[in-house]
Amino acid sequence: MQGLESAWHSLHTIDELAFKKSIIHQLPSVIKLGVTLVFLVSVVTFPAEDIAGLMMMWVYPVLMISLADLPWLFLLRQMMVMAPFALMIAIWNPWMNQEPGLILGSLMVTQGWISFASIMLKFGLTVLSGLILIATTGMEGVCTALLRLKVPQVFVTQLLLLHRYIMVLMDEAGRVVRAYQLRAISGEGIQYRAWGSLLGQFLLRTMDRADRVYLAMRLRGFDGEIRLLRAERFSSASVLFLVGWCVFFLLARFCNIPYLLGEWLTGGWR
Amino acid sequence: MSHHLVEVKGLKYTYPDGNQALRGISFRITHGEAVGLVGANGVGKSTLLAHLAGALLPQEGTVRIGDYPLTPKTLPLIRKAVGMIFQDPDDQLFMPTVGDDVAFGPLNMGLPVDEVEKRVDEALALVGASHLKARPPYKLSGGEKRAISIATVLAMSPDILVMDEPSSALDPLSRRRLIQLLRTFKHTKIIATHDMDLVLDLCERTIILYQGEVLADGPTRELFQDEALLKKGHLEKPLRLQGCPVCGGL
Repeated sequence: MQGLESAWHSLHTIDELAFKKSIIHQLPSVIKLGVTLVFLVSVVTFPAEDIAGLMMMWVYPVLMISLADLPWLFLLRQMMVMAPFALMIAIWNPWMNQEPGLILGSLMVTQGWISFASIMLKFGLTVLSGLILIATTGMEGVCTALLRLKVPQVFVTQLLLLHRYIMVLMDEAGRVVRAYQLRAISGEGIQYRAWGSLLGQFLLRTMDRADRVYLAMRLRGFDGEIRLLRAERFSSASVLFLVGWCVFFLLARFCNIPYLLGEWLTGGWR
Repeated sequence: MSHHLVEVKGLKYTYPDGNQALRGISFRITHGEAVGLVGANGVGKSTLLAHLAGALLPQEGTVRIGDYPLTPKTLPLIRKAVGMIFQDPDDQLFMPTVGDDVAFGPLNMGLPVDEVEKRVDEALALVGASHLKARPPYKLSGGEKRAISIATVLAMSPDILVMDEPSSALDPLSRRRLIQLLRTFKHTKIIATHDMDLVLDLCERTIILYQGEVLADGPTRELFQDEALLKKGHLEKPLRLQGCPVCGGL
């Protein structure tokens, strides 16, 4: 029950963050979505051994979180929720590939460990960039941007309603579980014998609710297309934001910035 | 002004599970009337409202809203003329923000964006909720949700308002505000409720349903004095018409 409630609060908090008024929040949603997409493509196409290059990409989330005044710890906690999935994929690499990859003094790092680090870094960057997008744009902003980018209506409608109704469904689930726990004698979670009936209850309730919501939509003229009331203007600053980040991502992806920076700095000191 | 007329003749409806919810209901509601629809649980109030709002089609009998009979072809016209306010505002508020939710109907009507924005602002101002426009609906209190669900319907400029238990789950002050708000509307109003005092406050006419049929149809004050009739309909006098619990006097 507590897990359910904390997930519910997290969802609400992310939604509320989107109502802040920072300079990042005020940028057009299409621009933010565009930057996020270019960032994601850049990150996932990094070669596994280029850890230094991937580290450069952390500039983006760090700057965005600071400029948008987002809570660091909260976002990191949300990121960690997904960590076990990435860990499940990456954990086998050190055993599968024990070829030497890097020698640091007397320490030999295998290629498996390097690719493990690369997967975990990519996981952190991609999840964090998604969280930053939602926390600075809101789900309706993301959906507006998707519509502008000509993503099919069906997909956008599903996304918007799914996000909205996750909250209501969690309410329903909370009620079902609370009703069970108030009458459960042991108080130690939900007994496996009750899972079937609880899930059945939950399914029936959610189907009823879906029917009522759909009816409310039909009565207000819903014809399969969600229309959002959003007017966003592109300023020269927002275009600069898009171009600036894209140039940085491409540079980070195709040039070895840490190496160049180090060379320039050491050259400068000489 | 015949578009404010609601006429139901011999309406029958049986659910697929065999439950006969409506067994031949007839009444006629004219322009600007406020009518309370009362009765025990399961007498067919919600089924009747679903017909009036164009959510169900008659299996037998006719429903006429204004100049149009309720048929599959006239559904868009009927749904434009009738605004339905659901019992649970959470069923009605599904968009990310209050402004989006109120704009949902007008946008679907194909109105230009300027007109939609005007309607949204007017509807929110009418229910005293302009300050909630940018808020997500799930963050609102019960009373605020109810006000917004009314605004979502008002923004479509309906002729007739159909309400299912509008005062349920509201605190006493929110309930009183709702009554005051509804009193200002000049629409034809049909209110299905168990809140007998609300009916007494708002509706000059009441229809009592009993086992899928009309048990009584007449002036609210007259019907609410008839204790035998109320008892048959599983109802009670409104609290205001009952004796004082201390001295027994009215």
